[in-house]
Amino acid sequence: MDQLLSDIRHALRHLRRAPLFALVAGTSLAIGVGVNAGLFSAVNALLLRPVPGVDHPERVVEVGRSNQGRGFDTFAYPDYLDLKSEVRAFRTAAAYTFDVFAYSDGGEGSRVTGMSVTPEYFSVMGLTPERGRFFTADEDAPGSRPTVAVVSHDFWMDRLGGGVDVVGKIIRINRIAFQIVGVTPADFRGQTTGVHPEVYVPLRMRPALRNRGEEDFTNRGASWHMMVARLAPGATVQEADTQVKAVYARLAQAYPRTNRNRSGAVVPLGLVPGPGRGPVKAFLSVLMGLAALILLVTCANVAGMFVARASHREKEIAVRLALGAGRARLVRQLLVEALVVFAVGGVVGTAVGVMLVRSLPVNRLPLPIHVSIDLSPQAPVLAFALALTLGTGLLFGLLPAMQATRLELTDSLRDNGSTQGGRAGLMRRFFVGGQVGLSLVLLASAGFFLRALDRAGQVDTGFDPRDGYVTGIDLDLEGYRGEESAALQQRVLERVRALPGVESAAMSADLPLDMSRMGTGVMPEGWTPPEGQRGLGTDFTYVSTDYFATLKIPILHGRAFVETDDVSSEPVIVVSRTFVDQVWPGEDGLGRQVQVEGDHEPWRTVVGVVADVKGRFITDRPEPMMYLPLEQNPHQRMDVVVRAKGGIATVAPALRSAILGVDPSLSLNPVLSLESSSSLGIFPQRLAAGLTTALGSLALLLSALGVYGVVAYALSRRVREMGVRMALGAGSTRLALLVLRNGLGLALPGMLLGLPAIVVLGFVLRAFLLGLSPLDPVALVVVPGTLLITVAAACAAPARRAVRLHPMEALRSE
Amino acid sequence: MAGEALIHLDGLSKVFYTEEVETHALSNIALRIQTGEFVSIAGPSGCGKTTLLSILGLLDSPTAGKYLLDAEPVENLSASQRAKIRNQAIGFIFQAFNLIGDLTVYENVELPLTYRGMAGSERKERVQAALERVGMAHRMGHYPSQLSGGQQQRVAVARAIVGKPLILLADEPTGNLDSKNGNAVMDLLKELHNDGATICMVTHDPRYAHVADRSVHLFDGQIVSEDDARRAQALEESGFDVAH
Repeated sequence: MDQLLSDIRHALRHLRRAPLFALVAGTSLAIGVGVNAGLFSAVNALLLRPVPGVDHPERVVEVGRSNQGRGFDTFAYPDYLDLKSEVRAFRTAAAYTFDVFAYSDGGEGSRVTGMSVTPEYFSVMGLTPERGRFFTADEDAPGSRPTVAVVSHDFWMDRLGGGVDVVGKIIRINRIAFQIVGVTPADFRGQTTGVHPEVYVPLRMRPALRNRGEEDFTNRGASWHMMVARLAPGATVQEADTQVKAVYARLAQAYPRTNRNRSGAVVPLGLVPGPGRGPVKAFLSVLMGLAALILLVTCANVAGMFVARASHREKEIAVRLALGAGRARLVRQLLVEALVVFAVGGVVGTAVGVMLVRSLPVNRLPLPIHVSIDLSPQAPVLAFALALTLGTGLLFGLLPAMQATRLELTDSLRDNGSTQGGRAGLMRRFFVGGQVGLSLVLLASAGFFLRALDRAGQVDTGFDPRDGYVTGIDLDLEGYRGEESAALQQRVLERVRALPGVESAAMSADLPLDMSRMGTGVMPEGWTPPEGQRGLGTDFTYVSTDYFATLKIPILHGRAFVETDDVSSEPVIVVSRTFVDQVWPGEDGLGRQVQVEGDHEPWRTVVGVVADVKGRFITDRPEPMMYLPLEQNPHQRMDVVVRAKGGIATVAPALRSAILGVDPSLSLNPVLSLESSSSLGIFPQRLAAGLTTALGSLALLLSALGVYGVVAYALSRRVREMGVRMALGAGSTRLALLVLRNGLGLALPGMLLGLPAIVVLGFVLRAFLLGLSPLDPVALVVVPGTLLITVAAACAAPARRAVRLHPMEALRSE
Repeated sequence: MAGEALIHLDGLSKVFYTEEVETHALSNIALRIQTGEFVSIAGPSGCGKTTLLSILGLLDSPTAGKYLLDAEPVENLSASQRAKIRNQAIGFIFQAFNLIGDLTVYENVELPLTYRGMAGSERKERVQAALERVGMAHRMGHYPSQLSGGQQQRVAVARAIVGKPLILLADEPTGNLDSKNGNAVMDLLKELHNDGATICMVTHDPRYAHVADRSVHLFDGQIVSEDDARRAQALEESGFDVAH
């Protein structure tokens, strides 16, 4: 221990005496470790951390429904009851839905995140109320109307003032008065990352809050409910999964019309809900892979610096060996020195990385509800950073240390020049070559994503977001029902259309490229479904008149909706080109009829065909799309979209004012430009392009530093040779080219190894690249070219020094 | 001299191999150094003095031959065994001092004892004594760069003697010093010898070679008689190539 402390003390002194080395090495490592620690804090927050506040979270599972073996979807309430009673592996199970509620305390309403839950929800989570009680079985009785609510600790503190008299207070949710009966504990902030429910109401209240009938509790076709369960003692997730599948097999036989091809799946409770866990895992894995590359680049850079430094300290090491230090003892000392540098870089990097990730504008995403992800540094993140720092420190510190202690002692002690020059040089070339190769891969990924982002601007999305603005009204939340809702929507449209500068305005239940889509099954006239398929799966939305004009979606055949398409006229629809191409190839589809799956759905006539529009993401392939007129299909939750001149600063207040002029207590979504709201559709490309560009630039800088270091060092060892060459008649150009050749010679092996990796990378990323070829010339020519130019630039300073050498001084140099 | 020699070389040779050239640095060396002796190894540049000293100091291994140090064969030891013997039995004094620039005078002298795993209190006592012995105790907090060449070499001597080695090996200890400082260092070595230290010194300076009890002359990797050495020296100085 005494020796170890002494080694640490000496290491710190070495660093103090070589501040530039410490700064460059420490900063490099801080970048590498910081990127990894920061990303890992996101991985931890989303995938690894147990749900806070839940008692024994490992015993809680999520249950999802699959269709034809795919998906992790919501349940029909009757299915939930069957699973709850028949799956013996569940001790208890609960159904719930996430909701956005309109909360009002008298003035303009505001949106709060809520949940409608069965009483078992709280016992599944293992919660004890901080105040009052949770829901009782009576409050789940069929036909009951329990106007009671449980609020979260934060809601109690922030919105209700934290008074001790919270239980018994009345709050208005969707304009219905609820009495608060309990408060959830402070450490439970919901089961899903980013979404913190503030108000919980009994599931039985959902029909009243959402203006729906009781059929949601009886109809096996109405799949709205999610499900969680606590495992029975001794039961495993696998057993529960098997039993859920067995129940679904029985239900498929008993209720073939609704349950054919359906099954279920059980997964452990996680902060990312079951259906999103796979994509999140895949995306974060790609990011962690890129982060690992940048760490390798930084470590290679630092290891190269250690090798160079060891060359400068060759004599000192030789003296220590001569004085009787064993090689293992010296390796340990050099390793400790390396670990101190890695530790400094690791600590700084972890702190900065976690801080930067925490400052990411997750809560500024254009989403209707407030999202906040807890990215505070936690023990696993610190442990990961520590393991990463120690692991890389040991690996990349050990190689140079082993190298540094392999000396010819006699020569090293007698100023006979480096005895490890060849081996050390080889090792530095290896590190720099590796750096260049890895940098090439990182730069190429940046190139791919930037090109994809560039293409996003040229991709035909099917609509024109310019000068478009959007907000949202959910009339379910506002207590409007039936004709009252339709009348309000009509008045809103009239007022908005009358605003100065507004060219057109419309409403839609869903907008393009906002990461969400509604889907249903339809049966088109004269179309035979493929084997095993009941109907055609299609996306759909409800739209008002002027919708296609407002979004500038081209009408290819027929007409758009008109005001006479109302409840008194024939049911009509407009479909997309892909819809027609799939079911009536070679026709224009006009006059054909379509029936939506369901017992009492009418046949609807196609009156128009419009161009395909990108749905969730810009990478989506064209899918069948069906538009239903709002006037014939009343819908409560609508986006209001306007096309207007003047910019968001002018349009947003005018739009809000016009809508609130109809009803001042409405709670509106924030007004966003359509470009901003549809930017969600290219969010993955944007994020990936931003990250890879930042990482690629860092890698480029580190590679340039690495090449510069090796070339400059090599020159310092060859000054006399340069003198001889000059004496023999070599001119400036020849000397500069010699240095440049040295630099390019370092980079080329790495680049040759990196090039095939780029091609592979292009194929791996193809799904994200909007049709960009994996053999894209930018990636294969421009990126390597940029890297070569950078390498050449890194050689410029040493080349300049070589050219400026004085022949006599060079010949005399040691 | 009676008894077992401290150093006993017999038939020792050293050959350096490069890609196409085989260089015989030492050939058939036979040498004994008794405890308490002061031996100088002299000879012209390239005659193998330093190679011999490196082998004596276990910094290098012979290609062939026998080497007994304190009656123990040491020619075929492992690297760690050699390091242990260097640490405990041998003290080095180098031409270029070879102090470690990042360590203070005290820490430089302490270094061999640290590698020996000696307790801190004992180390302190010994370092103090060694520095006082060479007259450098007042500079123990200084760094080598703050000392003159002569002072650095005295510190190097302190480092060599602090472990109480069986033998001091000095490689051109005055080579990097002016005559005044060179004389002072030589006086110090003489004092150490008078106090009982065994010293083997490589030098090509005839003034200092004669300070030793005995001079061993090397020529072309072989030990030659003093007369032969003088003849070779005269020939070399006259500009004639010496026949090999």
